[in-house]
Order: sequence, then structure tokens, then C-alpha cells
Amino acid sequence: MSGRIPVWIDTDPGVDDSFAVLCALKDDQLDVRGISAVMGNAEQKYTYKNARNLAHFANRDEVPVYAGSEVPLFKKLRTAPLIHGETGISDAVLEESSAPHATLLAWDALYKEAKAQNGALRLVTLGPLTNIAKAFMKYPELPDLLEGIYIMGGAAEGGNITPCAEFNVYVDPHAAETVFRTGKKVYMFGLDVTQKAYLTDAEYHGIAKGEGRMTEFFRKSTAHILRLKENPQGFELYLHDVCPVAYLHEPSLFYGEMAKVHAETEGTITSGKTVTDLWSDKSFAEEANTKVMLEVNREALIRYMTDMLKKIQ
Amino acid sequence: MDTGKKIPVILDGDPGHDDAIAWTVAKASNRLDIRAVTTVGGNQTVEKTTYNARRICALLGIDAPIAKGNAFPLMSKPMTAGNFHGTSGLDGPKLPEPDRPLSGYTAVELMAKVLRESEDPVTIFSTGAQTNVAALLLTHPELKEKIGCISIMGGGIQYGNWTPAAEFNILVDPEAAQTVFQSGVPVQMCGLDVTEKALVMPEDFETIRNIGNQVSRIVAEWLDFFMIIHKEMGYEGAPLHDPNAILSYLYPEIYDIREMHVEVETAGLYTRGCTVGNYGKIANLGVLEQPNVRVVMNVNRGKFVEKLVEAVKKYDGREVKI
Repeated sequence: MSGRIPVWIDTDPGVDDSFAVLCALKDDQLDVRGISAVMGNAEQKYTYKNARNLAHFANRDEVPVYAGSEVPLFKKLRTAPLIHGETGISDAVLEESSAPHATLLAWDALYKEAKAQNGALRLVTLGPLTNIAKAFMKYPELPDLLEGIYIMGGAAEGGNITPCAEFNVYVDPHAAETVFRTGKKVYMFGLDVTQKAYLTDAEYHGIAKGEGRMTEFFRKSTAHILRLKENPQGFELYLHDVCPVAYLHEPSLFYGEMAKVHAETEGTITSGKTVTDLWSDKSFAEEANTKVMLEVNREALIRYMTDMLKKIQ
Repeated sequence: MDTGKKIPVILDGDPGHDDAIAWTVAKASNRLDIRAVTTVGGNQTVEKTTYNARRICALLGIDAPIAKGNAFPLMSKPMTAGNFHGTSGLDGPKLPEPDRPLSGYTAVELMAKVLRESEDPVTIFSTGAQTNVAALLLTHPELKEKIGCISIMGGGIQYGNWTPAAEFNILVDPEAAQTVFQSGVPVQMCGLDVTEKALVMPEDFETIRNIGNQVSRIVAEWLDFFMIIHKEMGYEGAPLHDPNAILSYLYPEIYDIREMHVEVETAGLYTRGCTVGNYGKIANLGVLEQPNVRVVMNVNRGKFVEKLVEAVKKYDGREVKI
């Protein structure tokens, strides 16, 4: 392979977001051109700060981090403090980055980079799609400038914040619909696949044991999730956001099928549901533009993550 | 367990090939006493489904009163399945003409009368849109306690068929379905989750045809007709939706049934008519609402076909003029 793969990460770190961002930053095959922050798991002031500090944590201060949306397009903001804590990284504290603050906003910076990369830029989204929807609104040619959009979000079946909606899409369904409607090559890493990317207790303790700043971050950032695991309703540590990053590293870890996807924006109980025509007799009229990921090689995914995180000493 | 006492039942549907086969199964059971047949628009207009219902009753020897249901869903515009079941709504073999007049009651009045007059709780099998059942529940709250169970074919927790998110029967009248689910009456739901696993294969058609009685020949021809469109759609066999509402009630042991909270989306740009079931884990520890529906998720296909064959055999010796 001649060059590294140019990647943009839009994210709301976020516990599993943090692992995904760190993986991407430490992956020699990937060239992270920029990171943009969006509200979601926590308020944007935290996710922006966390994104900056993650770059610093990975000794990658040169990677530019851009501020993005503070609220969804139309809906009231909902965050997920039960899982990610108020600050987005649970009990963990990261050293402050002293990198200069970028002047461009997320959507402008993304567009500029997409143009510069001339069709090669992979857009990875790990949070609500608010920044991306804004970028599409302002720059209608942007979908054509991207090699692909790799989304953690949605679910062909089930949900996690409601019985039928996944958190990232639920937080800003209008933004998600904008992306599903106008995106060209979309890859949806929804709960169908990301809930198969869980970490067993033994695997968790294997990663969490020992010394070092990465191990400590891993332990402390998963404190809220560990407490939730005590709940009788059952809870797993899912590596949702690591999935699209791992896919860029090695696509053969995943299996998916093409479908047209819409995000419901109007339903009374289905707001934020991603409706796919994967299994229904009737298909949507529009061409299938989304590969809905359904299976993952879980062991290989975990190996990938641990290999990347080990590089942080 | 056969206590000798039959369960009083009402058959409510929009026949339709699979409704017709569902009623064939219901009439064959010595555990069910059919007290009324009511119709609803859906697979075809209510005029056509009512005519079909009367012809099916003449064929099977169902001698309960038959009442025509509402032409209009509670809130939606009427819709039909177009040519899915043919222009008559029950194309294929020739059937006997109706052998008795329609009841003078409306569907809701007839259902209410059956409930009032029954000593034992009545089970309602609803294999079309739930319009009549919802209208009954809304207008006769005092009779709710007389309903033992409402066993429906409709919905799909995992996916839809008529739209990507909605199954046909629910899509025809989402408000009615939501009324039924929220009624507090025990509801059992056979959605696409199970009914698309209840495939009857072409070789099973021959097993049924070879039983050799009049009903078996007609059921086989219904299956032949039903298979044509499903084959075009890529199915290996005919998904026999409606008989599951009866068979999962009679033989729960051959089904995988899970209690969960189910609601129907009545708004939505893409999700109107979607049956939302809470069957997973809600990661933010959102409120888990109390289960209100027994959702049938899977079936032992072999046993399903066995029960079907058994039912059709019960018609040995019955022959009506066609």
C-alpha cells in the first residue's frame, strides 16, 4: 500500500469514542487529518476539550481539533451522563493540551480537507451527525468529495436509548436523516454490529490490569459503565465507536448488506429510529446507498484495539 | 388437556387466503366453539372480504352469524392489498355460494352480543386490521372482562412488510392496533417475526392435497395461488401468516412466546404502523414498561405444518355442492 488512508473523525468523546480516537491516532495505516467535536455523550465544551486532550494523550498534538455544534439541529439536547459521566470520560482526567485552538469551525474545516484530499478522505462519525448535516447544507458538493462516510449510529433492529432508537441518531434524527438522504457511500455501524463488539469481564480485566497511563485511563474512563454492569437489567461494555475505525484498518473484520436507510424524525415513539429496507418485502424507492453492518469478528476487533492502545506508554 | 368444554371464539378477519386457512384450522378444532364471524376491509374491500367470509363459512360448515364490519379504519383512509390475493380477495379455486343471509347486526354489535351472552370468556381471533376489535373496546368498555384473549396476526417487532417498518394489518389501521395493545385485555401477537418462519413449502401443498377431501383440495389450491406472488418475491414457501394466530393459541408449546411491552407508532414519516417492542436492553436504563403483549417470535415449522395437516384431515367426509 502506497500511502496512508486520510481520515476525518467527528466525535463526542465519550468513553468508547476515546478508545476509537486513540486507535485511529496510533494506527500507522491511518492519517488522521482532523478531528471535529460535537455534543452528544456530553456537552460540546467537554467533548471539544476531550478531543484536544486525546490528541495530546496520544502524543499527536499536531492533529488539528475543531469545535462543532453545541446543540442538535432542531431537537433539545440530551446527553448520556449515566454512561460517560458529566465530563464524557467518566472518572478519568486527561492532561490539558496546550495546542493552539483552531480558528475554523468543524464543517468548514471538514470541507476544506475533503477538497484538499480530492475524493480520498474517509469521514468517520462517532457521535450525532449535527456537524456533518451542517457541512452538507453549506457545501452541497461535499458528499461527492468524500470516499465514504463511516457512521457509528442507528440500528436496523432494536435500540439502546429507546426500544427502537440508538443514541447518536436519537440525539439528532434530523441531522442523521440529512446524511442518510444525501450521503453517497454510507457505512452504518449500528447496534446490529456494535452490540456484538462487547468486552467480556475477563477481557476487560486483561486490558485494565497493570500500570501505565493508558491502563489507568482505560480503568477510570469505564468507571460509570462498570457501575452500570452491576444493574440487574444487564449492561455490557460495548466498543461501538471502535468499529468504524477498525473497519478502515481491516474491512474484512466486518460483514454488511446494502440498504436504503431513513432516520425517523416525526414519530411519537419512533423518533430517531433508523428504518432500513433490509428485510421487508417492500423497499424504499431510493437507491440503496448504505451498507448496514451486521457481523464483526469480535476477537480480531479487540486484538486491534489492544494492539493500538498498547502503543501509548 | 381436554375438559370437554369448548372455548367460545369470534373470528374477525379480511379473507384473504391465509385468513381462510386460519378459519379452516379454527373450525377443525374440537376445543373451539365459533360464535360469530366478523369482517373488515384490508386484503380487499369489506364488500369483497364479507362475500369471501360467507363463502368460506359455507365451505367449512361454520354456522355462526356473519356480520359485515366497518368500511373505514378508525382514522386512516381505507387501503387494500391490491392484487395480492387476486381481484376477489380470494382468487383460486371455485367456492360454494353463501348458504345463509348476513346478520342484521354490525360487526361491533354482533361481537358485543356474543360477549354479553357468553358465560365464559370469549377469545377473539383477529387476522385483519383491528378496526372492529378496537371499536368494540372503545364502545363497550364494560365487556372487556368478557374477553379472554385477543389473538392477532399483525405487526413485526423486527421489521415490516408493506413498508420497511410496518406490517400490512397494522398499517391499515394503526390507531386500532394501538387501542388493542393498550386495552389491558390479554393480547397475543403473531407478527412477521414468526409468520415469515411459518413457511409452507410446495411439497407440503402436495401432502395437503393428497389428504383427498374437498377442503384439502381447496386449501392446496389456495396455497398454490398464494405461492405464486411469494415465489416472485423470493420466498421458498408460502408464509402462512394468519393461521399462526389460531395455532399459537391452541398449541403454544410449538412456539417461542415472549412477554414484552409493545406500542404502535401512529405518526412518523417512515414508521407509521410500526410495532415497537421492547425486547432488548435499554442502555441508558430508561423505564422498562410492563409487558402488555405476548409476542410470538418463532415456531417449530415442522410441527406447524403437522397441525395444519391434522386440521385439514378433520374435513374427511364433508362435501358441499360447488
